[in-house]
Amino acid sequence: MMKRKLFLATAMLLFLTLSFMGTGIGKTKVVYWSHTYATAVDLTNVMIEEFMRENPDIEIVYDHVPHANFEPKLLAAFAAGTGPDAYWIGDWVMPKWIPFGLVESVDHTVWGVKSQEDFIRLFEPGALTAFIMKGKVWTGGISEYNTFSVFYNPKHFREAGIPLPSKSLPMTWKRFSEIAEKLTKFDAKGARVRSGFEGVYGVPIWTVLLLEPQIRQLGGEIVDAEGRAKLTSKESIEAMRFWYELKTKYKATDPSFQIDLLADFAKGRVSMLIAGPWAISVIRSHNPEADMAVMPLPVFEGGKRVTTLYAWAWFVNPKSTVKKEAWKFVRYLSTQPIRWWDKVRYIQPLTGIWPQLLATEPLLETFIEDFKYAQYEFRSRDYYEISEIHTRAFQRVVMENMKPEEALKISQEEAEKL
Amino acid sequence: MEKTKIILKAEQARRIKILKKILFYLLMTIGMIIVVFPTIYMFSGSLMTLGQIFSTPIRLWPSEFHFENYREVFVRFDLHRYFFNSTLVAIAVIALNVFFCPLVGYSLAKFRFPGRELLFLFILSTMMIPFDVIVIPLFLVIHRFGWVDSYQAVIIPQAMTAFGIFLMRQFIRGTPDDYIDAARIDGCKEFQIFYRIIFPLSMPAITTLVILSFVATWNSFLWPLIVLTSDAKKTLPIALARFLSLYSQEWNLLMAASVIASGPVLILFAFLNKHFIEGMSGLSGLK
Amino acid sequence: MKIWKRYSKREVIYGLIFASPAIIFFGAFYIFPIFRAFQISFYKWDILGTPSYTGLGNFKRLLTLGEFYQSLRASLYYAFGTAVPIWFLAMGFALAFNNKFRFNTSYLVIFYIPVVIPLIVWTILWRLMYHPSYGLLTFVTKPLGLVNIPWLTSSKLAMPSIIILSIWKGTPAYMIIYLAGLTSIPKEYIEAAQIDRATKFQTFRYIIVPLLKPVILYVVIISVIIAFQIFDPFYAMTAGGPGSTTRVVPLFVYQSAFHHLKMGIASAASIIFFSMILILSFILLKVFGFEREE
Repeated sequence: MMKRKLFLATAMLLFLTLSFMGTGIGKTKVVYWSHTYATAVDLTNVMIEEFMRENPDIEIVYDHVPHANFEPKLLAAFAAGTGPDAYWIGDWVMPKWIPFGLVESVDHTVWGVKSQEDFIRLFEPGALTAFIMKGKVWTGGISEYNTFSVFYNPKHFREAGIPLPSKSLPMTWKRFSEIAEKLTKFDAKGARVRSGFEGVYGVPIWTVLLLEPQIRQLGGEIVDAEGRAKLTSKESIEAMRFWYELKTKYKATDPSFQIDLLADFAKGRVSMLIAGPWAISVIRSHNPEADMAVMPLPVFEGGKRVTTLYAWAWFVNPKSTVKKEAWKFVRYLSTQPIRWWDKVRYIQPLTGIWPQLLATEPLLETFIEDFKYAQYEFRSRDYYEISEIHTRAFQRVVMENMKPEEALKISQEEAEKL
Repeated sequence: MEKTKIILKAEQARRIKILKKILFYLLMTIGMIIVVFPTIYMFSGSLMTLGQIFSTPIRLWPSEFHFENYREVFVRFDLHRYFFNSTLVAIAVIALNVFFCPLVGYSLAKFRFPGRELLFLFILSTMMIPFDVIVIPLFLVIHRFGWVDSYQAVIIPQAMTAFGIFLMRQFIRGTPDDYIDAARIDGCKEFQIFYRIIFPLSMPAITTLVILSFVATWNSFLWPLIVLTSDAKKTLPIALARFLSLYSQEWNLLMAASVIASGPVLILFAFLNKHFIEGMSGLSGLK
Repeated sequence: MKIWKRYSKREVIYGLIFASPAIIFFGAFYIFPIFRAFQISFYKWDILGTPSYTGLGNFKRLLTLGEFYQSLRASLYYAFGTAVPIWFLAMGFALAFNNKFRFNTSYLVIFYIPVVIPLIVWTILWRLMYHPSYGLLTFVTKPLGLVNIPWLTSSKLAMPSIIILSIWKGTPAYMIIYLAGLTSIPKEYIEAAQIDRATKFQTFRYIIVPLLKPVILYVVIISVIIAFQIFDPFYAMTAGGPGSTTRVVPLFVYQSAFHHLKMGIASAASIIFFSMILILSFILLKVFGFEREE
């Protein structure tokens, strides 16, 4: 009796295993992973179908994972020696991933050009700098190219009697704070009903995107030449002081007030925010009639004009056995910038792209201006650790009203132990 | 005079009893509402339009019921496949747990053998290590078995849990030895003792085990996420998480999806509980 | 070889046979990963490169790192802040539900719902409820004149906020364990006590508690162990903030492993954490656990 049960169980297990062994024998399989972003996923699926029709001997297997779990899943797969053949990831991991051999130098022949220099020329000047290391280009193309400018609600401005800002000339951070203060509203009982400005105060990459341009505007840097943090530099403290005053003096922002930043803006609960071009379509999806306009990222009085820059790009796994096909697929994805802009609002900096994008989205005018002053985030193998430490200081200032010098001192001590 | 006093006293006693009962129900209901408050929020949110959820003034109950949210979730998401996978995995995991946990718990509770306490401690300690540290080596083990992206990869590592074994051990410990000794004297085989005496006596514990195992495996997210890559095998929580990323602003749909995802466990719970509560009165010792 | 005097042969053989599935299972799936984790704690490893031996380096670093102590403290605060109230609430509710009354099952099912809802969803629900101006809690706080309460962004309130939602969610699960235990108590014992005119409290103290000791021990230890492992709300609601006040050890380990790619530190932190939990479990065992069956 037991023997029969055991036999049945094994048979069932075997059957289950075999039936899910997968089909598609004879085709070259290319595995592609991305993180989950609604419109991007939809477009990717469409492009996959088209690619497979044009290349009947290649099968693309696509998987997408929520943003927060994407890197762990990639890393676990890489650690086991597997992993996708192609994938995309952000530029800040390059200092670690390139030396670890997780990305492959681009096979420019697939693009039909003679050398990697020619490949670089396919893109706007300076766009690929984050992906060039040891004289080689490591990416097959940028999927998402971003700088941050300020979204504001013109209706709120008009109601408060504030003149609408210029589309190309940035205002000072001081003026920005004053406006934010004016736009903040409380109800009869003193509860906040609208914030002049809200930012993302708990996510390491956002901390860098917000604070780094400010520090650079003052002539400083987050890290020194060796990649070590210098968070107690006077520029860093000065930049942090802006946020300290925004919270305590102008009372224009309150970290507990936000739930979904873009939705809050779309619904008129927040008057201004700092974000990239991708936010345009998200805000519209919350509220198709949302009142929005864009102004340049403010600057410090007497400081330089600097904005931030970050990108996601496509890569091929060096351990892949189907590299040629993977690069072919990446090329297909990365050479259709208008569709990516149209459906997903991702900017892809291929040469001569700006006028084409501007024609469909006038709001881009300010972003294009800001792109001119954009610099990639700092390069460091300790990017994550430093940005997390910096974020803790940011939270201490903006959530617990700690003085910037104090908060940054604590962080610098943490950073020195790295 | 005495008689009326007694009657009056009886009347009073009865009234107090009724009052006590009313008070009890009142307190229970109020307690229930407080406890269930967040859940009410979830249900009502699932029936609102997006604009209503986060509007001012805050509304707890929707003015109209938007059942189409549920249809929307099913349509956008092709939930049938995920439901099937989750159910398959859950049934397999529960079956395995119900078989193995009581067996091992029994051996740890009632048998004395060298190394028993050490084994118990080892099993217990597997609960104390954060999963993130185990996940990569565990993935390597699964990879070496060739089980990546398979049902086994999700089912087998959940076949036994330290929680389940510990639970059964504690319950079986509380079972008097007399039944076992008597059965042994009667010449019963050990395995028979297990499934004829221990198993039935532990029914409340086993029912609890079923419920808790079901909840654990139905909602398990991180491990299936890492080990499954093809859409055809993915389980419900993964779909839910995608939903979270894809439609993170559509709270109403998210809540509808959660209601759908939580449904089966609740149904199972309600079903099991009927048996449970019926068994409550019946359990006064078997022979 | 003659230690067999202490054990009966039959018990040993069948005990081992019945325990063997666990030995095989945990051996196959847990020994390697746990051993690996233990091993890695003595190395520097970034998951992708080759490990380099560093002896006790990781441990030394962690034990001198202020942030690690903060994480340990946050974990202790959270674990006991959540578990201890649950011990009492779960027992209280179990006793209430142990009576036969109308709608018993319906109440039970409704009460159980928070357990069933995935923690991620539960976290989001509460995040909405905790909003200082538009969240549902303002229904209670506004009439009291309290506005703009930073539930999740104040270092004093953040952890209690998470503790509250954890207690809310966890209590029903432990309650049904107690309930299962209560139903296993033969009615005769309770009836005998009632005949002896014992008060409800006396019945509880002298009959129910002794009989339930194994189950109570289970709830006490498991609730603490599980509380130590909780990750989702800390990741999704506060991201360890403000500062490091809610950066519990599982979050610390996750960040070390998958963000910083410092697997050695993550493993070493887990070992220290694990040891702490083990010691605490022993203490709890001594306090709540009893009968040494011999």
